[in-house]
Amino acid sequence: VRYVTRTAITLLASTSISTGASAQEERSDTLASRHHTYESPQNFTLEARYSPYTPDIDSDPALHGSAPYKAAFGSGPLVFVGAEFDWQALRIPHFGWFGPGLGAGYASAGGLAMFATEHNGTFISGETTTLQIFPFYGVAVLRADALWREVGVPLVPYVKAGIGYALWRASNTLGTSSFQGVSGTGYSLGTVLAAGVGFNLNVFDRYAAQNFDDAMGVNATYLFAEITWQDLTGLGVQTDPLRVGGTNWTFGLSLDF
Amino acid sequence: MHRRTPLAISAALALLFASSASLAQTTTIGAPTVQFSGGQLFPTRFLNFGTAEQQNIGVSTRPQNLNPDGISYEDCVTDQTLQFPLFVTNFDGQNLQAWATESGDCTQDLDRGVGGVPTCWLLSTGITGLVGTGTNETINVRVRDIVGFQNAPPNPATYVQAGASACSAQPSFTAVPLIVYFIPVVGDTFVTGSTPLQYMVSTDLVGPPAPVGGGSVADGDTLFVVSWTPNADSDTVGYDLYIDPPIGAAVDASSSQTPVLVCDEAGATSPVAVASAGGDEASAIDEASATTMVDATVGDGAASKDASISDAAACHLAFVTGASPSTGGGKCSDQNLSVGTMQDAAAVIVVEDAETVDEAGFVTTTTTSGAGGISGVNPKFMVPTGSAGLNVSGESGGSFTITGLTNGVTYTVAVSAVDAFGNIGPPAINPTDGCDYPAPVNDFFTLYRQGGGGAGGLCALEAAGAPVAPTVAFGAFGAVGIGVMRRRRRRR
Repeated sequence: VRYVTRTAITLLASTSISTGASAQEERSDTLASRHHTYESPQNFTLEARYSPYTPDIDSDPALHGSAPYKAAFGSGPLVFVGAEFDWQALRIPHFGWFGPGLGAGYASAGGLAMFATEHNGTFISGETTTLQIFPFYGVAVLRADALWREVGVPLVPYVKAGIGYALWRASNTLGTSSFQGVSGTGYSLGTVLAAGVGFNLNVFDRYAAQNFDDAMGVNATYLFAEITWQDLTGLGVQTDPLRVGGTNWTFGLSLDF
Repeated sequence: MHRRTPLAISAALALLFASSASLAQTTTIGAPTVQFSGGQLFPTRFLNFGTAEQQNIGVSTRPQNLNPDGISYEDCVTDQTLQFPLFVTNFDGQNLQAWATESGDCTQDLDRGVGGVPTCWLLSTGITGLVGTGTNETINVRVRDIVGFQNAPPNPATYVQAGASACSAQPSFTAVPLIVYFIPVVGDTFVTGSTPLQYMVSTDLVGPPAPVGGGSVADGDTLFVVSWTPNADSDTVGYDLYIDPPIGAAVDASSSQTPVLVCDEAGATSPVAVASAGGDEASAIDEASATTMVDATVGDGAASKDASISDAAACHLAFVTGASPSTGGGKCSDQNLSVGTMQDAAAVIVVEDAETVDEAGFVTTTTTSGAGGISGVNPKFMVPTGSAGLNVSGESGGSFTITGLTNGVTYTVAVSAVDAFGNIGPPAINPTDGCDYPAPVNDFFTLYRQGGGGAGGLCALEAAGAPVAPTVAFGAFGAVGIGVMRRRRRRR
């Protein structure tokens, strides 16, 4: 009888979706893992993100094969830094959680501009040229933390999908660039997709992790790796966007709290 | 014995009175004192106040807050006079004199050359026979007299008016402290018990050495990026830059090249020159016929396009005259700047006295000190700074961008260090890199638009300031995160 009852409860729990607010109640459920006895409520995720970032500017068909980005800044990647804040709005028992997230970041490319024609035996001028990119995005996040929470495997795979919006500014030594009266500033719209996996650092020191939770309310700390596709090509509603998105690997640290 | 007593008393009294009279020559009851009057802390500076004709040509334009107790090379070469406002008390016929010394004590008669070799020198015979109990007086002292005898005070210590050569009396970079004394004297003797006024001045007649390495110039589109190695001189407080021809000045035609608007019409076999940058079609030439095209730019708004050229044509400015930038007014062997490469105080000062008659009929003598030093460089060649009295770059600065230049015009650039006294050191002019010309540059956005890209023109971002958006975003994230965590902790 006890086995049947437990099985029924398991089935009920697996087919129900509870909110994050009720997650704590579930954790105190007899089905909850023994790892989570002392956890504080968990509703949010905050990520610090770093990425070698290469914009897809030169892929614009309007450029007819020319590569202004590569010509100005070379082919090396930029360093992208950013942050993302997720709300674990819906908890899916024995799977993970689902919710919205917002992200923002910054990347900048810079170098010495080239002379229009050879000058004193060189094409490299003393004037700087810079491209600053400020990506923002809103995504839906699906994160499967059941492996960790219920089996103890410290890996949490996840996917994200949403809308991206990036402001950008091209400048030189004198300030914002200009070409025939058009200033070198703009925005780009597009889609954002990402897939990654987080490695739960709590596994290394559960006592410290519990203290961190007690003191700061942080349930879990992850190192993560993610592949991100930012297709900022206008979303069908914008003409001639600067294609500052790209496909990049992103690494970082995230906190569940 | 009895008759001799009154005689003895009389003799004693006579001796006593005689002694008292003698004593009155060197001391007074209530000894003289000298101090600054009216709470004024520094002397007022005048130009040419001490010339033979005593024609004051006005208060110095020297910034009074720039080392107000200091004496610079410019102070000396402009023959400044310092007017000391004094408040004197208990003077009863004594003289008030001004002396200066570097290491002596001018209250000691010996140091003023009375019975010894003087270490003080007389600045002004001052006021003789001064009588006053609480009166305001002024004594004028020429800067040249202060600085001119620090190496060899006149012997005997009589007043000697120093000439322009005094400004070359201190060939060292370090400031020298001097003391100006205002002392009560009777004859040559200091009035014992009196309270003189001592005023500390520091003199620095030499600007810092030239920046190490001479500096270099990197070219851009209508700009130079000038770099130099900051010198190690402790006096240096900043750097001034010079450029010849001056920014915005009309340049010698031979030193400039006329830009011509050239358009590549789609399908055309050769580019067509349309007009000069000023839109003068009469001067238009065919780019293909030019023997040399020195530089070109794209999308320069200075040129107007002819109506016959389609909007689809790619146009640019081309400089098509001259095989290389010619050097007219601004050439590397620029005499306008190289005249200043000699250190000011080490230069030979040429004194030219000119007499003019002003409107009131007074004869005014002006002294021009034509030096071989940096002060001989016309200030019009200085790169202007945002505020008067400031240097273009601070003490640790090693780079400055000069903007507003004309592409194709050759400029000579020099860098000078400046000390706290406002002395300007000799400019470093690198004969190889100091002479160059700005040229058109294609930055990323130009390359992108030129290649066919159509993005751009979002004014809002520029107006708001690009860094605002991410700053606000990150700030919002941080605030939300911290707020949530604090709230959660309180709930627990």
